[in-house]
Amino acid sequence: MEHDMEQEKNLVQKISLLKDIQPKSNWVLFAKTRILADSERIYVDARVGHLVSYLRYLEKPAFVLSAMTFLVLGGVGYQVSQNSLPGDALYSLRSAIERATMGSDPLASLEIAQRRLEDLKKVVEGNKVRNLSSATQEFNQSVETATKGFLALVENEPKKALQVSRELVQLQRGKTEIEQTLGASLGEEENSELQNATRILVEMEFADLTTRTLSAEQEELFKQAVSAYKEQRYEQALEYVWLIANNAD
Amino acid sequence: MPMEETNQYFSQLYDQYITRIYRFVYLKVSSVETAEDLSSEVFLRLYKRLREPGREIQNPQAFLYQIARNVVADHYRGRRVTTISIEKTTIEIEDIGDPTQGQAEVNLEMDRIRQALSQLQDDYQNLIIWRYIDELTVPEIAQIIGKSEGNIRVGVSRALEALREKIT
Repeated sequence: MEHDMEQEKNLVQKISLLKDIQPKSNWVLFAKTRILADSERIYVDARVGHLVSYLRYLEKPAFVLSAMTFLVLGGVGYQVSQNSLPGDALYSLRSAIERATMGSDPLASLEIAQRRLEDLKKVVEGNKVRNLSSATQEFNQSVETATKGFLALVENEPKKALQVSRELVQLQRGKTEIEQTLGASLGEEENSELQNATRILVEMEFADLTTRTLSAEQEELFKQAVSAYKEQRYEQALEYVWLIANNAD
Repeated sequence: MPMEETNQYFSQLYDQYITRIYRFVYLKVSSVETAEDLSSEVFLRLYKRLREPGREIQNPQAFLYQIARNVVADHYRGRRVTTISIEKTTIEIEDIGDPTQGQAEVNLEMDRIRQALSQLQDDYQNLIIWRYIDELTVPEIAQIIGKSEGNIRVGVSRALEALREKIT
């Protein structure tokens, strides 16, 4: 027994000699450098590889037919979906395409809200009662997202926020027009959020303007802006701020 | 994972495992040049895998040894198995280190062990390499080949016995 253990110990010691097998240090460095130097190509290949892995199915006739059918139907579906309105069967496709292509930054959110406003106008003008509920819901959701994005912009990039505030005011006006046509509010909460975002922007601009030297004409515009602000006409106040900015030269 | 982060992680794994993977491959193919080519291939596959979106490697050590086994198997599938001459083997061992006269005896002993190891069945070779050369624990080996720890212990014992028979 003891002899066996001794033999095993000797054998393990002999095996351990093989630990001395090591790669050449210059090769170790070279191989690593070569792989990393090629990393950009590997990165592209990995992405293309994903696509190719699907394309391999095209080698089989049955898959070719399926793929062509898919592409043709997909193309037709895409075209039809672009004219769809909230509440239509293909509207979700259009919405998904918009989200994928336009992104989710504040400007894109505002652009999407404007599109939803256009949809709502079409629904109201065309008296498409069936689509009204969905169109209003979609519009309100888009306004909520756009307002949040705008508030973030006001906080982080006030100058950019002032530039895009025109779009926001346009959105408010369009909304008001539709509400007048319908004779009903599209959503008090959203309205309040939009108002709140505009108010915050006006306050920030006021704070900025008080630190500047204004011309007589600008002073007059500023007074009118303050007056509109006190009457909670924030859109109007914002318009005066734009006028002051345009009179800067 | 961003490219810079991937490169950093790859670099870390490469430094940690290159010697073990090279040795593992070398003991299977008995050629420095082939071992270098195949080891490069192992790490190239590792890099590609790291770049694939959404495919995380849970156990890099097990993953690398699994690729190494596949790469060696592919190598043998792609060519006829040839007998390696003693002369050729000796030359390659000399390539590995920097032998002095006093080391000649050690090299001969290494060569003998290596020859004996290469005559074992593949599973036994792996177990000997992992347990006594790379000094992996039984649970680590169990993770690489997906067997129970009990199976590994029995396998290691049998592999050692088989090696002893080849040497004596």
